[in-house]
Amino acid sequence: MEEYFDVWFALWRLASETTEEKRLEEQRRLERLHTRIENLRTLFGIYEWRYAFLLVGVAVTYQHFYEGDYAIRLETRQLYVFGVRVARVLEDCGARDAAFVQVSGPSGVCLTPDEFHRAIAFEDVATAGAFMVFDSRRDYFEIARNFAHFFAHESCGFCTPCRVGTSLQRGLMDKIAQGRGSRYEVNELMRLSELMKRTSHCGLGQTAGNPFNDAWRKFRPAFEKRLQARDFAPAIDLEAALAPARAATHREDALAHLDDQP
Amino acid sequence: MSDATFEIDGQPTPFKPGQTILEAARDAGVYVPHLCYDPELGAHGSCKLCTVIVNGRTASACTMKALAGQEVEIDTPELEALRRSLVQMLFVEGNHFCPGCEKSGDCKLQALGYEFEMTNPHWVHFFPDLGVDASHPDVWLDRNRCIQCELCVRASRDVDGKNVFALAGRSVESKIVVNSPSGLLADSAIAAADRATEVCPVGAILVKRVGFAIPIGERRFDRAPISADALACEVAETDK
Repeated sequence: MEEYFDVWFALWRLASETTEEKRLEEQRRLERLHTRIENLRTLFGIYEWRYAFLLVGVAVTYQHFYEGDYAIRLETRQLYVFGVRVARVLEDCGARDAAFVQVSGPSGVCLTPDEFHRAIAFEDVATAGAFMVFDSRRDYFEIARNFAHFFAHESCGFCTPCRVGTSLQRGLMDKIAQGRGSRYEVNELMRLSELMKRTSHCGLGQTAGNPFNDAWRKFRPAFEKRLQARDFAPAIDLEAALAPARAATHREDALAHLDDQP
Repeated sequence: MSDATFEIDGQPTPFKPGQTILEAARDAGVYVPHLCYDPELGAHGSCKLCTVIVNGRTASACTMKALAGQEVEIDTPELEALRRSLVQMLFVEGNHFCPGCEKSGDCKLQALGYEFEMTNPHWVHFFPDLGVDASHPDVWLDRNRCIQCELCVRASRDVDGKNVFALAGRSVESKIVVNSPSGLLADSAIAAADRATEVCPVGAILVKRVGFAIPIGERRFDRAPISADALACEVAETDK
């Protein structure tokens, strides 16, 4: 398998390079590797999944995501057999103080240190190859919110639940991030992810609620510190919305302000 | 004829080989709600209102074939709630103001709102800025009311042979576009008598200069709820 490292790595870099120059450079590299790509296709065409290998390229899959905190260790690229423990991968890439790992991208699962003993395999933590490592400087709520934006952008728009649901999910996560969310929004997100999971046409919509569910289940304090104690808070700031009317009428007296404002 | 049957909500139901769950259910007098399916234009699988539970897993009744021994749940409070949420999504995604719409009473989206006892839109309104194409002398295109079922796309392409419409873009940005050099309906080949004009389940495509020809209160879904209407009309349609 050693000889296929170059092919995988060139493909990965082609997808992640940001400048046109570097992309061309990778393109030329790939052309030189053409024969080996064909061999790779044949190889993976005949192999069953249980014999397949997993390349763990760390992090930075898309520009608008958080960069993984251990991307620098990419030079030590590794090929693992399915069944490898998460902890072993972390050790190999030097991530000794990893706070959480997102396996298989936004649709996948977020693992906390108490789950690092789990195996990467179809039977346990399934993955398509993505493996993002984050340290304690990162806040999973913000990452889940980023993922919600990603899904709302990535939805193809074919089916109702995903087309509308991913946008509603983005709006609810943004509302919580702005400090205007309460338990109502959390319940709404739960109902929404259940609806998308059950009725969406494809895996994108069916899994679009996963980051929210992981954030709520595994990072409850990060979530709760953003919530208001009230039953419900409106999405708009009513007091601020009255400002143009106050300016137009030259009023700044108490009656021109809402009662429950500080 | 084979004597193969499957179960709809516990009732043994016969089906013809190759029939979808939706078709077999309709022939047995059981209504499965739908917006993007049409007996003539076929299944599309995008509105998801025909979501049913097949052997414990959700599936679209318009695309899934009936098979012997299948246990299908169609009319349950749980599925009714899912479908109500989906109709509410379609309402908040566009700009639907029933009192000002000529399609009111003939509109399938509105009728399904009544069918699912929808009393409010529930979700946050998107209030998108979509616009109206009034360029054509005989046909309106109001994108505010479009639910992206692609019935007009399929009718124009497969029945009228004109290929006037398409869906473009993705996520909530996806919208109906007109295949003409200017992008306007006036430059397209559409005509008031086209199937594409008539097939729209909502008020997005309407024939101009028609107003209150049938008074409110005597329209299609005023006379019979959409469940009864669909069973009567669509069986008649396929028997033609």
